[in-house]
Amino acid sequence: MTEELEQRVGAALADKTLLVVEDTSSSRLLVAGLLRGLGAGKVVAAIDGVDALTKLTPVPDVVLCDWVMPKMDGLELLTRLKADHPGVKFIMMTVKTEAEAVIQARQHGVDGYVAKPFTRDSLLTALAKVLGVAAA
Amino acid sequence: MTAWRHAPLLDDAVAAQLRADLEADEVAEILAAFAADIHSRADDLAAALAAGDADGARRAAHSLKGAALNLGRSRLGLICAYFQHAGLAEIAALWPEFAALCDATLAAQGQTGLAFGEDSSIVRA
Repeated sequence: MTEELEQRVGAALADKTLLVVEDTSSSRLLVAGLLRGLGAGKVVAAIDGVDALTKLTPVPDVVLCDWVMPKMDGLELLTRLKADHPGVKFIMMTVKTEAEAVIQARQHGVDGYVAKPFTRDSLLTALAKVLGVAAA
Repeated sequence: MTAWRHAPLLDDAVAAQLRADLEADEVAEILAAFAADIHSRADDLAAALAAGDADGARRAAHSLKGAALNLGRSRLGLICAYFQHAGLAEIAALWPEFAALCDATLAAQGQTGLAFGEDSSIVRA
């Protein structure tokens, strides 16, 4: 991963609000910490899709969301968010990398994926893609 | 089938990467949260086994698997991955090994083990 790409993504994230939706507290803290390290301006956290719907003021620029969660899963949150806020970029964090699952998420408007277990570099790559940041 | 028994308790490369990517206080906070995740998901799994709730058992195993593998707790993550596709009777039979693994994972990061230890009676209705 180039340092230049990190700098570009960091610059793009500086004024952005990111919403992390993840039901396990350790993974939620891990993603939030990595995002802050990448330069995110503001990181908000939610424990599931229902909680996420209460944290849309201000509307986040990017949502990073687990797929399998209690109460409301990632796919339902994606559908609801894209209906009301089509400009929000949505990254699904999941082990569901099978073709059928990917197609299903694409049909609901997902913008990117991060496969679990995730790393700082995999988050960086997904963010670069959805933010339209490319290495020079 | 028993791939977890050959996996490291802690993947040193993942642990080193986390220390490089995060501040020390962030790592400490995440590990404390992970200890709470182990306790809560083990409780959820025990409750699901006692109730004969296969979907609940799969959800608890899935949740703990993701948290464990993200932090390089490979052996715990892989036994949870196995539980996702195992029947309730098999999970119950493996419960003492799972509980011991939870305890070992917690002890490796200097935290207290499960209150019920390896006593599988908790999973009996």
